[in-house]
Order: sequence, then structure tokens, then C-alpha cells
Amino acid sequence: MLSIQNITKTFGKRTALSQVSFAFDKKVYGLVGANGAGKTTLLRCILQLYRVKDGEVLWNGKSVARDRSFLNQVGYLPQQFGLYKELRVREALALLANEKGVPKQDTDERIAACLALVHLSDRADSKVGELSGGMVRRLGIAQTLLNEPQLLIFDEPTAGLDPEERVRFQNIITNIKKDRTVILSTHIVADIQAVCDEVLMLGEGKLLFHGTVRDMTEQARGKVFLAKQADMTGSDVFIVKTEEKDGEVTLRYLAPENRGGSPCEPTTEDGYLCIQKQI
Amino acid sequence: MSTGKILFRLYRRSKWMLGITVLLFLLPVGTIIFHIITAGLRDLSLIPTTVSICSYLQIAAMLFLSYEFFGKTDAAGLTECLNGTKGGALRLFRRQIGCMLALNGLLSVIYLCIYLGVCAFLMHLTQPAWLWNLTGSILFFFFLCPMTAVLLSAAASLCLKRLSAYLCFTLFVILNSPIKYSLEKRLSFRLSYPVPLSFLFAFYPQNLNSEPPAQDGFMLPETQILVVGCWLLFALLFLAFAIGLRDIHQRRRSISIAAICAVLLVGVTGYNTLPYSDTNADCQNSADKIYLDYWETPELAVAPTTPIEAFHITSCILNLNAKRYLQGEAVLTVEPDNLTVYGFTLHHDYTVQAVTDKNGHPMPFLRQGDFLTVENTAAADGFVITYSGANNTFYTKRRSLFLPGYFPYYPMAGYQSFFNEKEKQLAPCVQTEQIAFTVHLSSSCEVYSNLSETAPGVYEGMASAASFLGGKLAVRSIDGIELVYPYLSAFVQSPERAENAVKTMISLGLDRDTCERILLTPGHLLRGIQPQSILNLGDHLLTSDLNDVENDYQKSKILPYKVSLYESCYIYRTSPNTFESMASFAEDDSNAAYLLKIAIQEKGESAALAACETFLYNREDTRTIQAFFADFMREG
Amino acid sequence: MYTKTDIAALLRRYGLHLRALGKHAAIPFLAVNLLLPVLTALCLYKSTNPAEDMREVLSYLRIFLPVCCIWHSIMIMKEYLLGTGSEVLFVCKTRSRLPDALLPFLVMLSNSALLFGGISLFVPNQSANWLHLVGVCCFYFGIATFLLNASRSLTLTLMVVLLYTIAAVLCGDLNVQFFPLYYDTMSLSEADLRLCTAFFFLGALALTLLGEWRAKRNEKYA
Repeated sequence: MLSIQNITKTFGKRTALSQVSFAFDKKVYGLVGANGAGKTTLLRCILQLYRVKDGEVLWNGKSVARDRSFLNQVGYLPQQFGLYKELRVREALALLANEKGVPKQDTDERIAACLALVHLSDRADSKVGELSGGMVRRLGIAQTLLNEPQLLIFDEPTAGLDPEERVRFQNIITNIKKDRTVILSTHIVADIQAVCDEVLMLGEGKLLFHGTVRDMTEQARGKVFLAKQADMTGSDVFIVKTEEKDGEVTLRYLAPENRGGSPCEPTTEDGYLCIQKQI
Repeated sequence: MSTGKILFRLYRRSKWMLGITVLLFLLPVGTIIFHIITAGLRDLSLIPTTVSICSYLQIAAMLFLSYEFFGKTDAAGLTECLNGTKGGALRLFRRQIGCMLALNGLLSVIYLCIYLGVCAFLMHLTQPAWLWNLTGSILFFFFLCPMTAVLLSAAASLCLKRLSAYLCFTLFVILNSPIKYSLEKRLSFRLSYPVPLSFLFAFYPQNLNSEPPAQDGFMLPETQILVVGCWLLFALLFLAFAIGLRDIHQRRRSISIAAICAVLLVGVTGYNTLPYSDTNADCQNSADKIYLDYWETPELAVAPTTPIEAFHITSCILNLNAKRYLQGEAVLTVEPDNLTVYGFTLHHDYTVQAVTDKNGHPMPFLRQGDFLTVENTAAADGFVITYSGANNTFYTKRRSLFLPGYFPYYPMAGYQSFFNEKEKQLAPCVQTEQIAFTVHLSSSCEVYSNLSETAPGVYEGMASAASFLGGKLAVRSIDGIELVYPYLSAFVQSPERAENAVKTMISLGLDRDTCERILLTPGHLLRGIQPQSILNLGDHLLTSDLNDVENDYQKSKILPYKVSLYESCYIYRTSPNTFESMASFAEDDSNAAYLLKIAIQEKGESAALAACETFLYNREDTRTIQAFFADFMREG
Repeated sequence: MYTKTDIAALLRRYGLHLRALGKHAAIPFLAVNLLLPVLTALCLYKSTNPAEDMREVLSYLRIFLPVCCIWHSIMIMKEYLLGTGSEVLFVCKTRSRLPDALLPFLVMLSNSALLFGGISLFVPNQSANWLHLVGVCCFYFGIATFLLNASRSLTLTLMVVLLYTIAAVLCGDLNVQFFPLYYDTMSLSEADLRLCTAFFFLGALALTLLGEWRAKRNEKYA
């Protein structure tokens, strides 16, 4: 089980993470936050890609700084993935399996299983460079599963994918999440809603919120309103959406109190914004 | 902010690119330090070498830096954005090229300031022709050549992926490096065929091991200019083609430019490959070729067996065109004029087109190696021999020429071997009879001769030989003797050396009335005329340096074939151990040291050495060394 | 310590890395097994003075062999350091990529040894030259691994390697030899060998260790 304690990471004078602590369970966690909030930094600290001087990352109670064998239990898909463009899909996975220490006798079987899971079996003999963006991302997902990891970390796995690919990804996560800890860093609220059991929200390096998706949505209850622009009063509002119909502008906004219009049912996005904007 | 400034910022942001650029800017400083440490700032003779090295390094760096710079906007997707606008990508590309050219321009200005400063302020060399030569040379090496590299890089950035481009650049740099020359020499030797198009890889002008002819002045060699021109045209063609492929708006214009470049490229390449072309790189670095010819074909120097009677040339009128290669017409008056057969010596590199009498009637002739045999069927008192050709060692080019009087570049009387097969050395053709020379020389450079210049391009006088030296030369008069030397020679920095050398020779017997001129010749060339480094041709001396003047001048007073005996005597006096080794090297007649050792043992040291002295300095005594010792041993 | 399994895995990885390089993987092999033997044959075939002609052979070998020996290492390291998403490759038990870089280098060095062995049939007593060349190749390896790890720039690494080679050749032609400039066309005697080779091996070790230290401290990913 993964646990992080008081992780602080600075780059020069800039503090990217500040005292972040959390204990992960065997669930799917959505890691959300604005750009520059520290999501990728946190993931890299967990993966020992960054040295953590302040704080600790524990795996099954042991500090991972002293025992890198924990990484054999990790599957990681970075934000950008596109290695070995000259190799065929099967060969690229074989190389990655080798890097991860998968025994030679199990490699072919695992590669076949992973490709089947991500629906790339028919492209096993294509060159990586010939695959579309979505297929490359699926290949990236496949490589995370080669060593049958206990911990899966995906950094913005669905950025740039079309809706069909995103749905496919959600289905894959649903299939593989059994008895695993999955951390999904994403901006796409629909993905969080679809697959995440819990959500962690980072803001300026700090953990602003953790809870279920429903909890996040509830954060916006009583703070979401729909009003005509003409009826709006006050300026401490955050406008979520603007609609114009027949010359009339309707606003959906977040505010601590009603500034005109009628309250409406909050969405997960509203909850996210309320926490981010501290409304 | 202008696009240029933005692009410069982009360039600066990459630390390593900036680092290498800073190193390039430090290179001029490094060369100054190098000059100071090695030879002092006043010795200009090192400048061509340092210019070659710095230019070569700049070219190599520019290839990679430019590629990376052009690649930066591609990687950022900026080019793709601008491709959607009319001419936007092309404008950006032009400005990128402009940035790199500005960088090169700045570097060349720095080098110019340094070298002009050294020449003008330290050496007081302010003649306009000289300064223009230097300026042209610096701009060529530090602007034009790197600019070509930038354009090649620009073209590569459009068409080649990084790894392929790097491989091409690496190959380009290696093929233009000094090892290219040894590789070329080896391949053409083994294949017995010159390596085709090898002249194109001449960005690095010459092998460091061979000195450039100093009288060329600061290098602005036509060969390199045309080679760089070839590459420039190729880069523009490539660039135009690649832009045309990418930008549909520019296609027509690009194709036109590409077509013009292709035509010019074919023309320039063709010109470069012309036989005897002044631009033929073979001219530059083939001091070995003159030996190679004789090594491979020794019969070139073997006189025909048909005996001929002795005669001499009383008057020699030469009409020489020495601009690209040598085209000559020799009008010779001979004495006696009633022989049926006359034998001449003319180096085998010159093809004889025709031999006629003075009235134009053709005469039958036979050309064998270095020799020309003419049948005097018309009982003529003279001959007109028309010939042309080029020799790489004793050469004629636009920038300089070197036609020494001991080299048969004009028909000489009798059969004289220019190559001593036994000793495997060049044997200068030294004649003693005086000839009335009238030479009409057409050349592109300033020429000095032992003959007097009575009119522009006309040289006349009575001499045993006619020598011509042309290029960036200066003249100094020292005690009535004129020393003609290249501006780039070490004597520029040390005039006292020249004075001391000439005065030493005068004290050793150099007759100011007889010898009027000393011509300082290309060093690496005269080195071939072993073992003499001063050659006395009566009214002038030819020498490659004036370092060990005392010893060299003494040697010059004796006939060349006797020099091995002179050296044996000298070493016997100065280094007995070395003499013993020399004598035991080959204990037979061919070894002068061995013969001397036997003579000393049999006749005593003082008698042997005195006899040698008399024999050596008597130019009328033309016995062989073996015959001399045989006669000496027979004497009671 | 490396077990048999680890070594087997390393060898399999090496094979896949070569495939990943595409057609560029063939270049050093072609150079060492085709180009250089042809050049050597041109120099030595029917040579009347093999010892003298060996100088010319050495002039080519001392330029091409070090670059060929490190070519694969550089290209493989490039993928680790500069490939898109290469951080995946560092999420594993060992952060050091040195074995992956070292193996191709050793393979090419062994390939070069075959070439030298062939040359020794025609011109004996080449052990001093070979040892010197090995030292120089190791030094090149040190330069390449250090620069790649320190600068994370393939261009800079290739440029420095090329400029170093050019500088060595130019200075060698000018008879300027001091560490780290190594180029000379002369055959080395045993006496010359000791000091200069020691420098090269030490230099290689220092640079490689520096590169490893830098790699461990790296926190920049593509």
C-alpha cells in the first residue's frame, strides 16, 4: 500500500509541493489540479524520479528511497509517450518488459495479454511510428501492465484523445483496477466521474481536497446559480458558462451567495471550481 | 521587437549553442596567443596555417549550430503555423539565415581587425594591394566558407532528419580534413587513377605538412574560391528545391533559381576539371608528383642512346604565357648550326606541338621522356619550338609562379638528366654557357627574374639560365645584391637575418659584380633539390632559406653531383663517429664517405682532404667522384 | 552484481536497442568491417614497406575507430535521455544506464580487435598501437557518457566528439601532442605507451563516473 508523508519539493526558489500527505488504498484515485499545481511533480516524487529530501514515500510501510525494488511493482505512463518509433509494437513491449525485469519465459504471454486488453493485438507487427496518437497511448497503457504491477500511475492519459478512445480508456481502467491502486492525473472531469473512486485535488503544491467524486460535487451545493445577465448583482462571482439565446445572455455562475437568478444542481466541475477558487 | 532580435534571443537561450558560439569568438584570441607563443606576432608565415585551422573549425561548428537553430522553430511548430500564411515560413527562414550570416559576419570582422591590425600597425605593411589580399582572404575564409556551411545546413534542415544530417555533416567535415589528402594520394596511387571529384572537398586548403607557397601571399586561392562556389551553388539549388517542395507559392520562383544554380554548378564544376586548369587542386599539393613520375617511370630521365654532337644555344627568345599553364614558344639560335641532329632537354610535362625552323618549315622531331631530338633537315641555324603544359612543382598560376633556371621549362641544349636515378634525387640542370635571353612573359602576378626587365613583361640579358619568381614579393638591396623574397617569409620580421646572411655570403666569396640577385624560393619545393639548399646559377642564387648560410653557400660553389663528397669531408671534420657510420653504411664505390675513408687510410688525412678540396671547388673538373678517387689513389 | 539472468536480459536488450536504431545501426558495423578493411588493404596490399605504410593505416584507424566504438552507445543513451516519455525507462530497479551504454561499446571494441588482429598478420608487433587505441576509445566513451548525461543534448555531444577529433588530427599534423590530444600517425613504442595510455584510461574512468554522478542527480525529463 502506498503512503506519502509530508512531501515537500522545491526547484530552486519555487516550491512545487508543500507538506503533502496521503495514504492510498486499492482504489482508483483521480489527481486533479490547475496547471502548475504539482500533479506531475507529486507523481515523479512517488516514482523516485525526483529526489525527495523532505518527506517520505512508503510502500507497505517501508521507505522507497532505500529500496528501489518497489518500482518493480509500479506501472507508469508519463504525459508524453513515444519511445522506440522504429520498433514494432511487439518488439517495443518486449524491450520494455526486459527493462522491467519480466522473466523471458513470461514475456510473450504477457505481451499478448496486454495487447488484448488494450485492443492492439491486430497492430502487434506495426511499427510504433506508424500508430495513431490514440494507439500510442494504448500502447503506453499496455506497457504499464507488463510487470503485473500493484500500483498504476497515469499522467494525463486521455489528453488529446477522441471521445471513443477516452471511453475505451475508461473501460480499460475499469477492467484492470481490481486489487490495484490506480492514480490518474487528469484535467478531464468526465474521466474522474467515470472511473475514479476518490479525488485528490492539488493547488499551488498543497492538497486542497480529498474525497469521493460525490463529495467534490457537494462542495458546490448551494453555490451554483443560473441567472440572466441583466439580473446579476455583485462582482464576486465566477462565471462558469455563458449562453446567448434570442439576444438574451444567461450566465451560470458560482458564488457564496445568490447574486441573482436561481440555484441549480451542482456538477463535479462546479465542485472542482469551488474548491480551486475557494468559493 | 523585430524578428531578428527574437531569433537571436532564441539562439542565446540554448546554453550549449551559446557556449560553442562563445568558443568560436574566443578562437581569434587563441590564435593570437598561439602566434605569440610559437613565433611571435611579427612572423606572418604562420598566418595561413592558423587561418586554415580556425576557418575549418568555424565551418564544422556552423554546420551543426545552423542545423540546430533552424530545427528549433520546426520543433516548436512555428514553421507549421507560418506555412499557412503567404510566404511567412520563407520570411522566417530568410531571417534565420540572416542571423547566422550576421554571426559569421561578426566573426570575420573580428579576425579582420586582428590581422589587419597586426599587419598595418606592427609590421607596417600598408600597401593597398597587400591589405586587399589580406582582407579578401579573411572574408573568404571566415565569411564565405562558413556562409556556405550555413546554407548547406539550412538545406539539410528542410530535407534531412537529424541523424542523417549529422552523418552527412560528419562525412563532409572528415572529407575536408587533412586526412583527405593522404587518403586521396593513397587511393590514386593504388588505383592508378585520380579520385574523381576529389577537388570538391577542399575547404581545408592543404595538408598542414606541406607549406603553402609563400609567394601566394595570404591565401585567396582560386581553387578554393571555385570549390566553395560549387558548394554554394549546390546549397542554393538544394534550398530552392526544398522550399519549392514545401511552399507552393514559391514553387515557380524556386524552380527557376534551382535551374540557374544547376547550370552554373555544371559550368563551374566543368571548369574545375579542365586539364591544366589553374584551379585544379592537383596543382596545390603535389610536390611529390615530380618524384613519383620518375620513380614509376625512370626511363623519363634516361637520355636516348643515339649519340649527338655537342652544341650550345647562343640566343633564346621565349614567348611565354604563364597565366593558367605554360604555353611557350622558344626561338633558339644554335652553334654550330650545321649538325644533322640536335638534342634538347625539355621536361616531360610539356607537350611539344611543333618544331620548325625560323622560316616556319616544319622539322621532324622525336619526344622521349625529358628529351627532344630534332632532325635538322632544313640546315637551319635555329629552331622554333612550340610547347605547352604544366608542372605542379615548378608551376605557373594566376597568383604566383616559380620557374627556376635549373628546371627545363624551356628547351636546354643537350641531353641533361633532371633525375639522378642512382641517388633517387632531382638533379638540377646547371649550364655554364651564356645565352642571350629575351623573354616575353605574360603573367597575372608581379614577376622578378635574374634578367633585367627592359619593358613591362620583357626580360633580357646574358645569363646561363633564366629564372622567374612571381607573386607577392618584396625586394631589398643589401650591399648591392638584391634579395627577392615573399612578404610572408620570416625575413619580414627579422631584416637583420637577411642582412647577415647576404654579408656572410659576400665574405665567403659571393661576387657582387657577377651575382646580382638572390631569389628566395618556395621552401618545400627546393627541398627536393637535395642536398643543396642554395643553387648558384652564375648571375643569381636560388635558395629556400638563409639559415645555415655558411655551409650552404660553400656547397653551392660546387657542382651538384659532388655534394655528397663535400658532406663527407665536412662530417669527417666535425663528427668523426658519424663519419664512421656513413662510411660503413655501404662499403662500395657508390659511397663517397667510404671512398674518402680508404683514401685517408692509404694516403693520409691532409693529402686526401686537400685533394678533395681542389676537386670540389673546381667546376671545370667534371670527373665523377669514383674517377677522382681512382686517379688520386693511382698517384704516387 | 550482475547475475546470469541480468546479463542475458542485457544482451536481449542490446539486440532490441540495435533494432530500434533502424538503418543507422549498421553504420559502425559497415565502417569497421567494410570501409576500414578496404582502406587497410589499399595501404598494405603488396606493400614493400609495411611498417611505413602502417602509419597511414593508423591515421585512419585513430580517427574512425573511436567514433565507431561509441556510436551505438550514444544512440542508445539518446533514447534513454531524450526519448519522448523516457522517464518510463527510469522507473525500474536500477537508475544506471551505464551497462546499456557499455555493452555496445565493448562489442564494437571487440569487432575492432578482429580488424587489428587481421592487420597484425601483415604487420606484426601492433600490441602497443592497439593498447593506445583502446585507451583512446575508452576516453571517447567517457566524453560521450559525460556529455550526454550532463548536457542532455545529442547535438552537443556529437559536436564535441567531432571537434575533439578534428582538433586532435590538426594538432597531430602540427606535431603537438599532449593529453588529451592523441592523434599521431607514428607507431608507438612501449615506452611512449605507458604514460599516455594511463591518462586515457584514467580520463575515461573519471568522465564516466562524473557522468554517472550527474545522471543520478538529473531531474529533467523529456
